[in-house]
Amino acid sequence: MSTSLQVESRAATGATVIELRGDVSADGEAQVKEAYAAAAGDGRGAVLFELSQAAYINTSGISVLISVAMEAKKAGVRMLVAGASPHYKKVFDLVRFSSFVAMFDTEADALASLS
Amino acid sequence: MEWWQRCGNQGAGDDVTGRTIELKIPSENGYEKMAMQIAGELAQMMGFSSSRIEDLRTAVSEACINAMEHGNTFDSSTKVYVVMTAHDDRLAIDVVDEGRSGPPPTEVKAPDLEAQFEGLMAPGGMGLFVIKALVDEADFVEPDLGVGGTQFRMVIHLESEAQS
Repeated sequence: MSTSLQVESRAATGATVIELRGDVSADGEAQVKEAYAAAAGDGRGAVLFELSQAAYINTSGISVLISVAMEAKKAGVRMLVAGASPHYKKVFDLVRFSSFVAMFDTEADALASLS
Repeated sequence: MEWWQRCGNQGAGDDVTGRTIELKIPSENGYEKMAMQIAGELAQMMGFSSSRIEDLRTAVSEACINAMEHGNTFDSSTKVYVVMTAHDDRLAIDVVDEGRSGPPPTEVKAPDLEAQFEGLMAPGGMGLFVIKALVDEADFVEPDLGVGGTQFRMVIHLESEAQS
């Protein structure tokens, strides 16, 4: 069964925003990594994953985000996450993902932190 | 006799008053959402709050993925069995695989994200830890549904709902 993930990247002040809509799971790994690689190469120095339209995130999806965060750390690219629902913020806290990646309520908050 | 005829109300304990829903889903990523959605609907009918329902949905999803991955090695010919029993005071959900791998883990450790971020271990290993944090009870139990694999039971209580 294919799961649905739409990935859309756009430029913002100080970062490339990668919006993940739908299901964030192992099935979306290639799409997420491809979008990150393109964003990391654009010279802005920061990549913001925007999750307000991510209806379903499982721990396999969190593992994908951890893999990307590792790549970002190696490359000296700042990675941020914004827009996760209160439930998924709770899950990020449980597994301590939020201890390693900066989390923000909104995209605007995240971008403001970069200025 | 088929497994669903054998299981009756056994899956969630010995209370024969429970109303039972049974599902059989393929061991393929994505189908866990079917179980997750039905569990959420059932919990809503029982009066659980939206935050508890979100917790349960995630726990059910993770348990199904574990069964698909570890119990059934993502073999598409295998199934994951999900038995949900609504009791007056609790909702119990059993997730059963076909036992294609070894015995279940005897302890559940917090994921070591330091090691994962340092590249010392592959990202992952979070599912059971998350499940145990999100529901009132979560454990592997002696199989009593006649399916033959590993059986994992999760329970949320309406009593703890009143306290939350």
